[in-house]
Amino acid sequence: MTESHASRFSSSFLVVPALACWAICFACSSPHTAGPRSDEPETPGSAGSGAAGSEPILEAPVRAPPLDAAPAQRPVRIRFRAVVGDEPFACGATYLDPGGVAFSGADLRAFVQDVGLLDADGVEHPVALDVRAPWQQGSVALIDFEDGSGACAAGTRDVNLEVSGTVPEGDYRGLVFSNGVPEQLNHADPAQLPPPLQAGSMTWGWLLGYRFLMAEVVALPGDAGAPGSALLHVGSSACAGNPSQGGVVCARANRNRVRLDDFDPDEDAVLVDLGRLFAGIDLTRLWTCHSSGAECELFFGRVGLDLATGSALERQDLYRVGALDEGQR
Amino acid sequence: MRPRSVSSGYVSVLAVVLLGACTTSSSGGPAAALPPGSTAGEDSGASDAGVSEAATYAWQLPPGFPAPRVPEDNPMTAAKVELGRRLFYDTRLSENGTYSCATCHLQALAFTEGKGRAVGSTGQVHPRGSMSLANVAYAATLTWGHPFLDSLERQAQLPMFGDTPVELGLRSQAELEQRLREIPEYAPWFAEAFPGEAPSLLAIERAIASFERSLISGRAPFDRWLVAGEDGAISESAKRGYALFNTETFECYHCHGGFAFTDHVVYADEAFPQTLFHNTGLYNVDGQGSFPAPNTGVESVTGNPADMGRFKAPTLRNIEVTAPYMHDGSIATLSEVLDHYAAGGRTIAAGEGAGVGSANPLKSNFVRGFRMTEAERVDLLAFLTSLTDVEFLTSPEHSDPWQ
Repeated sequence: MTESHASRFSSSFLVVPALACWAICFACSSPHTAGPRSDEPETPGSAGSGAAGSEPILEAPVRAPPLDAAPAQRPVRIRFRAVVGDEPFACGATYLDPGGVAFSGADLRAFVQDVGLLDADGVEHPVALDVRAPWQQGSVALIDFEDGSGACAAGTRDVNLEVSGTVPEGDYRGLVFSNGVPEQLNHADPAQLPPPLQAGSMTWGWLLGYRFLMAEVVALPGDAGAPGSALLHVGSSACAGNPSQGGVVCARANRNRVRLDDFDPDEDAVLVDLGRLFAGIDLTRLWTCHSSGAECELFFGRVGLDLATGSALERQDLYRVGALDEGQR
Repeated sequence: MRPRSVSSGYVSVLAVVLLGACTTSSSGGPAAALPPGSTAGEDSGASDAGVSEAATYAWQLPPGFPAPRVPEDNPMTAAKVELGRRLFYDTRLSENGTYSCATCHLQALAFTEGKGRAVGSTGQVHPRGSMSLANVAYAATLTWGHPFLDSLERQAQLPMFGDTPVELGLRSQAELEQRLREIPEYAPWFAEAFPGEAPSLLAIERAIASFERSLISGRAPFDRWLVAGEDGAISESAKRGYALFNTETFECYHCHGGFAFTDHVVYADEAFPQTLFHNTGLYNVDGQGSFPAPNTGVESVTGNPADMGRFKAPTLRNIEVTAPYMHDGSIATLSEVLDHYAAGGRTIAAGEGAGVGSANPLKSNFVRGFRMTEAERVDLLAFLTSLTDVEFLTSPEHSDPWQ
């Protein structure tokens, strides 16, 4: 069992029939470090708004040191599992926060890019993603936990819980990936891109970009007061420029590199914890974060981003290593 | 006041603008792009617009209007305009089948909605009102306060897929494309507009943008007077109002000048579109210039505090029918809009949005306030209502093709 498994927090609340309980325990969480990569402000991309002839760059960047000639490749699957604290995430499920407010998860989707595995020496080996429509293209994959049911009624039916690709044969001990969409593609016209970058819920029209992470919970009517909700949309923000005149530049890139140690792709899953993301907030009111404004402070810290600069923080609390049989499957 | 000579037309407006000390344009004004040899009383085509593909579309431009800018990858054709019109008025472009673009953009209201804040297909209220689409082909950027959303094609995706708030409520490009491919009557229209292509979001947005570009309004009584020289087209009061409009006292023309009656214009052959935004002192909720969230204008996009409260000057064409006014519909009548500018910014004594707008430190230098007699108010309103283009508001070419 990994450190993460041992340290996952325990439920300490009354079991309510038909309700799953979850607890908040920040102190006992085991944050994995978020490296300093990908935290620079965006630079103008070549992909303008509907610009003819601007062929999107969809190849995965190569970052690892050159390998020996033609190493044997093996398929690899990076499995993602959504949880709310200790409980599996499901759109139809109800959870109870420590204040007694019942709530449901309403959305959980995230773009991941530049996935790599770490060998025993900590050297990163890029995973070459399969072309797997509609979920993967180039270096980008969309993880989609919501199935359009229950509280996720605004979502879509299909789900995708994994990143698939190939990697050189080897003994891997860790995982790295970045949240978000490559900046070269972030402001291109989704109508001219393949899925998962096509227009839909993850396109962020007002900034001509993408939502890198969409996470939402809604409280249910109850004794605790008027039902509130929490909504977090992470994407590059504070943007200026012009798609037809050199491109759009976002001062706050809001991309970070997530590093999970003690991760074995054959044995482990990446847990995405909606509960930990929204822990401790008063769900009798509305919490809205569109990647700017004071209400983002708490959530951005947990995602591993500095709200003021859009740079990566040292720790993040959204992702951790768990077992394959945990969470939504 | 006699009409200006027909050949000067809007050029006279430009000249006044250029004489103003504060113009920031380095590219000349709208009239700079008047097609060479364009004469009053004749429609100017786009044949000299440098957009050769557009030759297949017969612009019916009002006299004095420059050729619109058209993206090279989406030249205008009559087939695209007609397909776009069908899509614009089709409620199947909303997730629940209840809304079309036209639900919030009514022709009779110059393609505004008549609501201060739009209501989407699921009942969610938008923080802002639906903007007029009159002459949107000339809009340098789109929506009320976006510094770089300059493509009608891209813009069409916002109401389709946006969910904060929900407008048309679509969730997936693939689902929309599949839905339209299953409607047999669309097949020939798509085939004509986009030969060899299956219905796609790209085709949809290009068709809708083409229809929107066809929404040209420039044949109001004011135009018949100013450009065509029809002396009796507008009242003497309206003529006096136009003179007041162009004075340094009232300052209206700085932001609302030119053929489009906005400083936020682009047209063909223009290298540097003007994308000006202004804080007019409509709010000042914290004494430091803030507008009520989320309606902070350009700031909401750039995150730059200096952009707080900066919005686009909307066109004054058809302004008579586009009440209520301002980005959030917070002023009910044109007369009250004049009061706002006369006061150099609005004061809200108490309640939501309270503050002294005239003391907004981020306010435009043009909003300094003025004294206005009741006679001058009447004249200014007479001028503004002379910009109502009944032909545009009733033209069958722009109307619902499904009826």
